[in-house]
Amino acid sequence: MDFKNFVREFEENVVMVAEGTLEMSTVLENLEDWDSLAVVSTMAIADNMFGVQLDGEEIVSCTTFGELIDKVKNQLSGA
Amino acid sequence: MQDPFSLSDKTILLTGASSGIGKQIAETLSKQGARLILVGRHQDTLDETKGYLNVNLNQNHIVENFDLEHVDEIPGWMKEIVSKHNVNIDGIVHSAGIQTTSPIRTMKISEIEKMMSLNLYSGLALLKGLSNKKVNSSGGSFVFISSIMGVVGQPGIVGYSASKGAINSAVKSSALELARHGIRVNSICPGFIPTKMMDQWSKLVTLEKRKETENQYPLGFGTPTDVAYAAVYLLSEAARWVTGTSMVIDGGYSCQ
Repeated sequence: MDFKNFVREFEENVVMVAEGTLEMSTVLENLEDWDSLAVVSTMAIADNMFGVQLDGEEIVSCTTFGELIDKVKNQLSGA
Repeated sequence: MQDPFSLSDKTILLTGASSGIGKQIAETLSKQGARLILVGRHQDTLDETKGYLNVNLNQNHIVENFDLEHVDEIPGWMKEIVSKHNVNIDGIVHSAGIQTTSPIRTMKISEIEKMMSLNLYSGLALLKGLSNKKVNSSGGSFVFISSIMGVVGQPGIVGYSASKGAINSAVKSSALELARHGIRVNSICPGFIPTKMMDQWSKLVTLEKRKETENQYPLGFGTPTDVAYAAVYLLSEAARWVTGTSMVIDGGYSCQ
């Protein structure tokens, strides 16, 4: 699965940072635009791009961007 | 003296009766003696709702299968059913509606279009149908089920707010235009009512956020019955002098 598009969409439209800013170790809470609407937007793009249904609580439990990507990957592999 | 809230001589067309607020409205209107025309896409769920209704007053409720997405066909279809069942439609409650939570940063106009179509356009088409003398010739009452989110705002629901706010504005102009035909037009603006439509919202937000929201309601969350009673009032003779208004039923949410 190509996550590049997801990352790009996440950077531009969810947390609104410049392309290439995010790393797997980036702490989500430190991003200025990481708020409750960002959580809903994340669910929307995961659904639109991969057909994956993420839970609000699941997303909020992620500390880093990498953990969030892992959640999406887990859902995709049916874990 | 006749009960001013009785609907016993009225035929009311109701959309969205398969579930949620609409289903409760069907039950409550039926108890008040109304004869109902239940409209929806799914024959089986409509039949189920009809099965629940109190028929002690021999109302002989009607079920009509119709997809409100076919907006342009609505007025013509209304003339057909009036002729088919030999009735005069005295009132309409447009309770069918959808709500999607979609932050601006990722929203799609096509999603908003779906909400506008069902929440607003189909309601306006029903209103057009009601204004036709073949459908209603003795005056009537149109009730839109709007939302408190058409009066106040909330992040994440721009499209939904737009559709409900549009209803509240449409109510004013249409009330003025149809007054001389004896048709009153109003909307009900409910606050948060836990129903299947709101399950999506409940899944999207954290438990903390849900509790926070409930605390913003001085009288707690509402029930479908709270809305149904308002619909009874607006449809009845008791509201003969009420038109062009958006009735807020929200447990005190918007007065803060």
